[in-house]
This record gives sequence, C-alpha cells and structure tokens, in this order.
Amino acid sequence: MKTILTVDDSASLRQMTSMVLRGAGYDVIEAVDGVDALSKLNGRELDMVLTDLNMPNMDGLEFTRRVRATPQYKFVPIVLLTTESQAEKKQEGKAAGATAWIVKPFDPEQLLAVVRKVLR
Amino acid sequence: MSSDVLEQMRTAFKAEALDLLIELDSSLLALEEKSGDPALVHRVFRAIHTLKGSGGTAGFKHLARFTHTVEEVFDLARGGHLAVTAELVDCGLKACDVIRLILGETADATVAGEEDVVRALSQLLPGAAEYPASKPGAAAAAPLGQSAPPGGATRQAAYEIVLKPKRRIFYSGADPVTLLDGLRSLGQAHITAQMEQVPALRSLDPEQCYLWWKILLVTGAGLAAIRDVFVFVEEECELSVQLLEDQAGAVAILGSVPPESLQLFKAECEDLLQQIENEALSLEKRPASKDSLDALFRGVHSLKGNAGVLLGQVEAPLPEDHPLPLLHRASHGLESLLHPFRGADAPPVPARTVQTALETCDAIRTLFGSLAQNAAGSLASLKLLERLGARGDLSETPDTVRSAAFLNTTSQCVETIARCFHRLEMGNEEKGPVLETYRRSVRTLSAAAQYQKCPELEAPLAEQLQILDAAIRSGAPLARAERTSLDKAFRSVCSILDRLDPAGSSPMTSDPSNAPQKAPADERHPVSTSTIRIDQEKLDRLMRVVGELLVARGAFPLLVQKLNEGSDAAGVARDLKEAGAAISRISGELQTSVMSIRMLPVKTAFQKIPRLVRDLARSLGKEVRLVIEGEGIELDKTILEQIGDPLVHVIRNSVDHGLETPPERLAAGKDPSGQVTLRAAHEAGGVVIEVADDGRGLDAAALKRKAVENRLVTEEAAAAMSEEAAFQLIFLPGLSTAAKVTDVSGRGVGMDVVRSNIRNLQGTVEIRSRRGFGTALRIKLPTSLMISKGILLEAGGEEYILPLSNICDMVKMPRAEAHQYRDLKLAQVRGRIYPIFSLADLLGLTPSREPDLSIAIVEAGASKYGLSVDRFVTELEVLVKPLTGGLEKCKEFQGAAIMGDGRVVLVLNALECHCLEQTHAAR
Repeated sequence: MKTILTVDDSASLRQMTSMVLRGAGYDVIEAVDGVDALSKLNGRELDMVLTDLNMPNMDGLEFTRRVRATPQYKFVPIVLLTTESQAEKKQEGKAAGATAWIVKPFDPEQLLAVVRKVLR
Repeated sequence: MSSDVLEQMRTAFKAEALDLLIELDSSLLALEEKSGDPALVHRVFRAIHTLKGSGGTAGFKHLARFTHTVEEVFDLARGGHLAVTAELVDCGLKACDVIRLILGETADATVAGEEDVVRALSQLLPGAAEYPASKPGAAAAAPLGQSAPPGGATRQAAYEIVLKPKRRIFYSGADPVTLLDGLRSLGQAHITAQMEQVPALRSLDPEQCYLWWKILLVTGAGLAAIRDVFVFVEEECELSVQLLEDQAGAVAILGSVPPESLQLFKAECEDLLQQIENEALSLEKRPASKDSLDALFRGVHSLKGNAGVLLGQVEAPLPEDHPLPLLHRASHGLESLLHPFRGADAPPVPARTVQTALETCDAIRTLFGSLAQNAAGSLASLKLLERLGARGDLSETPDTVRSAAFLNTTSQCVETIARCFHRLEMGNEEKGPVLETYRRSVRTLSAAAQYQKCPELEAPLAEQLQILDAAIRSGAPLARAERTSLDKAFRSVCSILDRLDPAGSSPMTSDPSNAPQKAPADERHPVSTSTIRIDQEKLDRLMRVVGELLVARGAFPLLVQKLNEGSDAAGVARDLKEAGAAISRISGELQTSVMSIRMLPVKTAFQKIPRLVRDLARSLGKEVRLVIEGEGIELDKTILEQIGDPLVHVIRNSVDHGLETPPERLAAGKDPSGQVTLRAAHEAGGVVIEVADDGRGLDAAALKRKAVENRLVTEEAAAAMSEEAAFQLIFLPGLSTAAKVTDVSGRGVGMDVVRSNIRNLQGTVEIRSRRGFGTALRIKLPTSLMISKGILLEAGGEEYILPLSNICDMVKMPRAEAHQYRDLKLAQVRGRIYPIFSLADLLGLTPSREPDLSIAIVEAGASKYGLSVDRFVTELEVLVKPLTGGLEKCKEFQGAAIMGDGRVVLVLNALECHCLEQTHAAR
C-alpha cells in the first residue's frame, strides 16, 4: 500500500483529501502544518507528499525545502495545493522542489487523477 | 462515493468556517487596537485564505469568489502595500457578516451587504501607481464601472475565446474542463460548448475530443493571464483570443450577470418573442380580439419584467445605446401603448397601433439579436422609442427598475398560480401540466425573491415547491391536506407580496375568493445545525463510564450462580444491594456524561455580542463598555441555539434605547460611556442570563399610558398597578408594535417576541428598572429541555409534577394562617405576602381538607404566587415529553412524564397556571 502525507491547516480539506485517498486504497498520514508534518515523517517510508502552501508555524515552501533536503525523501513527489492567486508561488514552489500542483478548489476526481498520475 | 465525500466535507467545512470566522472576528477586533501588528494581519489573512481555499473545494463557489476579493486586500496589507486603517478593519468585519450570510445561503445568490463590502474594499485598493501590474485578477470581483485609473492593469475587459482542442488531446493527459475552470477563475466566463462535430454514437470514438468551445470572458487579468491558462496545452489545441467589439456593454453585462441567468434570459426571451409576434399577427387579423390582446400584453409584460430583472443585476451603468436597456424600454413602451385597449369596454386596437406593435416586435428582435452577439444596439430603435413615447424611462434608477421588475414578475406569477388553483378546482383537465405550470411559477417567484432579497418569501415558496415536486414525481392526485397546505403557503406569499407592493394593489384580482390574509410572522421553521462538536474529554469520560457499566453488569451472573447454589439469602441480598447501588451510581454518571455532551458554554451565544455592541455604538454615536460575565456556564445546545436571537434583540434595545448619548449622560452627571453587562449565572436549578444597562431606565407612567391607550389594560387596573408590574407591560404584544413607545419610554419593539421565544424554551423573563439608573432584563432558562427536576405532588387526589425550576420556596402552614381578603387568599411566607391559589380548584378538582396547607411558591415571569396542594410526595428527575394529538391545547401542562413504575404523570406549566388564575380572578 502506498503512503501519502497530506499537510493542511484546514480540517475540512484534510478530511476530504484523506477520505478520498483512503477510499482509493492509499495509506494517509495527516499533519496540520510543516512542523507537525516533519515530526510525523521521522524516517517513515513515504510515496508522496500533498501540502498546502499557507500554513502557520512552517509554510508549505519551507516544508518542501526541508523534505527535499532530507536524503531519504530526495525523490518523493511533492504536490502543492495552491489557489489561483498564487501564480507566482508556483514558480517558487518549483524552485523549492515541488513536482506538481493542484489548484484549489478541486474535486475528489481531480485529486485522484493527479495522485495517480504522480504515483505512476 | 464522491458526492458523499463532498457532502461530508461541506458539513466539516461549515463547522470549520464558524471557527475561522470567530478567529477572524477576534483578530480584526484586536487589530483595531494594535493596528500595526503584522502577526495579527497574518492571522487575518490566513483565516480568509483558508475560507477561500477549503470553501471553494467544498463547493462553496460563491464564498470562494467573495473571499477572493477580501483576500486580495489583506494580502496587500500583509505585504505592507496597504496601511491597516480603521476602514480596513471595518471592511473586514463587514466581510465576516457577509461570509456568515453566504454560508447560510443554499443558492448562489448575492447576499445583503455583499456588494457594499466589495465596493468598500475596492476603494481601499491603492491606485495603479503604487501598485503595479503584478497581480492578476486583483479586481476580478470589484464592481465594474469604477474601473481602475488609466494605465491600471486591473481594468476589466471582455474577450471572446475560441478553444478548439485537437482530437487527440486526451492522450497528452490534458483535460479541457480544467482549462475552462482556469478561465472561470480569471473572471466571469460564459462558456458555450459547440457540439456540431460530435458524430453519431456508433462512430464515436470515446478517446477523441469532438467538442470545442466559445467562451466570453470578462476579466481584469489581461491577455497574458488568459494565455497562461493554456500554457501546457499550446501544442494540443487551436486557440484564439480577441477583444469583443462593444467593450463597455459586454463588460457590464457579461461581467456582472451570472452565465446561468443570461442563458435563462435568452431562452425565455426567445419563447416570449415568438409568442408576442404570433399574437401581434393574429391581432392584426382580428383587432377586436381581447384574447390576443391580453396574450400579447402578457408576453410584452413578461419580456419587460425579464429585461428589468437582468438590468437590475447589471452593476455598472450601461451605455445608452446598449441593447438591453433599449429592449427594456421598448417593451415598456409597447406595454403602455397597448394598455388603454385592455379594459372590458375599451375600443378595438386601431390598425396604426397594431402596425407600431409589429414594428416594435421587429425592433425588439433586432435588439435581442445584437444582445446575443454582444453588439451595440441600433439607432433605428432609438427613433422607434421616441414614437412610443418611452424616452423618459431613462430617468428610472436601477432601484426602481429592480422593484418594478420584481413586482411585475411576482404579480404575474401570482396570477398564474391563482389560475392553476382554479383549474385544479374545476377538475376537468389533466393535473400534471397544471402542476407543472404551478411549479414553474413558484420557481420564478423564488428566483425573484432571492433577487429582491425577500427571505420571508422563501419558506412558503419552498413548502409549495416541496409538495409540488412530490406530487409531480408520484403522479398521484393531490391529497386534501396537500391542497390545504399549498393554499395556505400561497396565501402567505400573497400577503407578504401585498406588504411589499407600495401601491398596495392586490395581485389577486383574478381570484377574489382567495382573499389574502396576514401570514403568521413566526411561521418559519427554526433552522438549526445538526452536527455537534464534542470535547474529546467528555467522550472519553463517557467511554469510561460505559466500561464501568459493563464491569458492574458482570456481578449479576455471579449472583444468579450463588442463588442457584443455595447460598445464604441474607448474604446474596447484601451483594444484590451493592450491585444495584453500583449500577445506579453508574447510570447517574452516564446520564451526567450524556447530558454534558449536549451542554455547551454560553460563550458560544455570547461570542457575537461584542461585535454587535461595537457596531451599534459606532452607528449610534454612543460610547459603550460591554462587560461579559459567566461565559463558562453551560446550557443545552438547543437552548443556546435559540437564545441567540432574543439576546441580540435585547442587547440592541439596551444600547439603542436604554443608554443615553454621551452629552445626555454628562448632563445627568454620569460617566459619558455607558455600560452594558451581560451575565450568566446558575440559579435555582437553571441558568439566569441578565442583560443590564446603566441607562435612562423605563418610564412606568408612559408605559401605563400607552397600555391604556391601546386598550391592553383598563384605566383602573393601570392606576392600581405597581411600578414593577407596569414595567412588565412591555412584554404585551399590542404595546410593542406601537412604534411610538420607543420615543416615549425609550424601549420596546418586539419584546413580546422575545418573551414568546423564551417561553418556548420553558424559560421566563422579567424586567427591572429604575428611572435614571438603568434597566435589567433577567432571562431564566432551564439547563436542559430534555430532563428536568421536579416535585411530585398530589392535588385533588391526582398526582402532578411541578418543575423545580419554577419553585422558589416550599412551606407547610396551618390552614388558619392563610387569610381571605375579598376574592383572594393571602398568606405570609418568610416575611412576604403571596396570593395563594389551590391547584385542585384551578384544575377543577376537589381539594382535600388536610389540616395543614402545603404551599409551593412559584415564579411565573415577574410575579410570584403560592400554589397550594394536598401534599408533596418527592423530588424526582423526569424526562418531559410534549403532549400531542390535540392535548397540546391544554396549556396548563407542559408535557407528560413516565414514572419508574410506568405510570404517566402530567407536568404542570407554572406560567399557564398563572394565566388560569387570572381568568379565575376575572370571573
């Protein structure tokens, strides 16, 4: 079973992503921000990261950089959740090491489509 | 599965959104005090940002759109490009209100205040000089017409985009739908799919893309941003982006009218035009035909109504030669032209007029054509308008256009529905089509209601829609009960509309039997959220207790075994008693735990008060200090949900009417800033919420005078009334609607509603006041509606339960100590004199002749009285179930409870017993 880490400070968004992903047979780790996510990672086997950008404590960009800087997760796909107003952030995200992004709002099918594509 | 997920996410998001709003509210209020704090600005931004992102994903598209605008402004503030001013905070707070409204809204309609906030926000945006072009879509939701200054990159423009994906586009993993969504996110997109290349099903290859799209897009994002959407599929499709010819008109209409409305308008107009043309032609043949004339008139009328509704939605002023206002005016002109010939004894339509009508139809069709193609209107039609004498309409403000259109539409729908009733009554035709017509009219009405913001119309309309939907689905004839409720709901719609119609003309002309009657004001169903969020700790405790229960249960098989083995009876009895005690302790705990889950701190109801007081004080020019005490006290969730509105009302009264303005206060020798205290406290098995102000107090004499004037009390009764009793007059329904009382006594609108709301919660309310020193309103509520403590008592040989929360004292005294004074029996209890009533007498039973009187001193609103009973039996906890099946009319009982042994005992309603006394006393 593939494991996906989803990081978002919005509880409802977290609930939706994890329900959709679990429903599709993935193992999901939830975290509320970058700091929480790093502590939950802690060397665990991971197949993909799905992270929001704007979060308290540690934002998505910094988190992406930290994940990339960890040798174990050097090649783990990182997908950013962005809103359309953050067009310039996409570039920053790419520079930080993100693999792809999903624009909010999205629906379950779109999410799964992206996840399947990235994990293939 | 996915719709389930979305539904759950919607629910989760709503709960989260409420938290975020509270966070937003409090951060903004804090920001008002520490205006420079960047951490606070970040918090505000993040809350809005999450509302937007999660809201959009949960399907709250409208919310996402609105929050986007708010977010832009706070993004600037966050980056230091915009100063945090009082106006900005104010806008933010107003935005919170709008967001709350949007969350409550089911349909995608503009909510009250939304446009104001968007406008205010856009005014806060700095000019183009300070804030260069780097932000696409910054003004995407800003009102049009106030377009950015020259050179600003956020100017709205209308584009026509043609997107023709290559057949094999799916193979590259691209999805045209996401491209269209990308366009939608840039601004208002009107998307039309072109389907002519889709082959017949048998030759269709599902892996090919046959569709192509024409998109009309209004955006401030600029060409580059549009191109950006297609950046990954450039090789996979043909793309053309062009500016539309009539920019001003296209931006105004396409930018502010939702695509669905525009499509609906076009489709309806097409039909109407067809109808109008046909009728005009048949009128030409038979100018005396009233039927044709009426049909023509109705068609033109609807056309005008539709155009008016659409026009009302357009935010920016349209250029004079734009087809839409021309169309509106032309149909209005034609309507006025035909009107004189409609009466029963009017002359037939002259040929010249028919000719003009036909020409106008042609003109309208031309206008409609240019509207559909987003071109400018023709000057020829302007000339025609002059002939129709409809030039003057230009002076109509959008507001009157709006309400005129609204009244037109609604009166038509009402007429149609009334006809449907008639047709149903006749019963000689197929029911289905009649119901369909009915349903269509109801739908139009509800669209109109949303558009004109008449929320009170929604409930009766929704009710009708529900019945009609069910009836049409099942195909069965309407049952009598359904007919009655349809009729009732329809009548309440009519009466609401009557009130809205300034001319007071009844739209019910076609059916005199349906005389409109006043709709009950509080008929709306209480709406409450169905989810509850529970403290983890409470759930854990519940689990622990359940665990204990299971352990305790384990004792019984052992006891059975002991009995079977013939152990000594006394020992087993002792063990059994212990086990019973354990079970009873655990079930007690279980009850407390479960009850506590439903209990929430009053903080949840108090939360919105500081904001309310602040806004009120600001708008009234008063200085108000709000003191809140006892936020942690817990109340049942149902009670909390329903106490919010009365509380807001009472607070508003205190600030608005109770407190004086600073100069008045200074003149009276008081601190210029007034104080309002909101306090919750435990008292006598319930909770008391007190709202007190140190304002001018009530004027008992004025209240009495008003009550006498309105014939609510007799002059003698008023004269005999104590000051305290006079204050309670404020709760009488007749008194509160008299608006003048506000000026006289400085208080009073809707207090009867407050009282009835509180009574519904089995609570009581009383008011105390001292002239010049202030007023205090005490709301006493039970902690829970489900389980209450009560006293089991006997009266006239029957058992009853009296809720403990109504009892302030219980005494036993020799019969001789109660004295008869005229009609009243009086007794002194702990230094106070109370009137004493015999419960058995009140209920029409024979009281026993015990030597001692057992008296419960009962609190009913502001007054207290003694209730004498045969004897008190015991105190107990009961689950009160409401009376049903006709018994609910017995107001003296609030319900019934089932005792441990299965007997049913009635629970008394102390308030209504009090009323019984009054009727007895009057006799």
